[in-house]
Amino acid sequence: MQTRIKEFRARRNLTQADLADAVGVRRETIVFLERGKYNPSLRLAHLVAKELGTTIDQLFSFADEEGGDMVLEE
Amino acid sequence: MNENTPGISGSHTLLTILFLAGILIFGAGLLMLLFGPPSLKEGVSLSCISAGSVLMIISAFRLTGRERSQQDERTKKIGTYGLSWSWFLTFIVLFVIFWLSVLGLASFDVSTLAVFLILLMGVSAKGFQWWFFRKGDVE
Repeated sequence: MQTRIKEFRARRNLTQADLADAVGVRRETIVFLERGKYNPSLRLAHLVAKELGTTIDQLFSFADEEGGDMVLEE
Repeated sequence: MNENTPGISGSHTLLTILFLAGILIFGAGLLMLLFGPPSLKEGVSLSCISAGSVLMIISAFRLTGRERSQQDERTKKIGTYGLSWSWFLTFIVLFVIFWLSVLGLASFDVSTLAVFLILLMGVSAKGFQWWFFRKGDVE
């Protein structure tokens, strides 16, 4: 999983602690989120996206095992 | 997160009830040990004292509030997975101990086994939680 949280956070001049307080989690959770090591709940992803003024699909991307972007089939 | 707010007062009540239950069970065990009939002194009273102590210590620790206020969905998830893995490890160890005993390869008295299992569950739960905290997630 890859995230652009750091990029969007920097645009808004927010520290990790600011974002953590705003969405009600520990700062460490934001650290692991930015590193792509923590898979958040849909609710937390929504809260983070809302706080950063963007959408979930702009913030998070998942790659399949071959390295390409995961595409949802209709 | 706002979703945590209603749960805190509910869990606070539950923890208070558990703490009071712990005091009652501990007190009952102590009374049985001091004044009860000899048949109760060995097994029942010591079990009550142990169970009461564990209830009191765990609920008092959680009631301090420090740990609760620092929890979020990740720490709760890691805490739960740590306990699950600890339970599973204890199950495997019990299985091994059972067969060692059945096959006559080793024998354990109840007190030693109880202390060993109490320590195993506590230490392994903390160990698994520490490992998951280092990783960041349980996956």
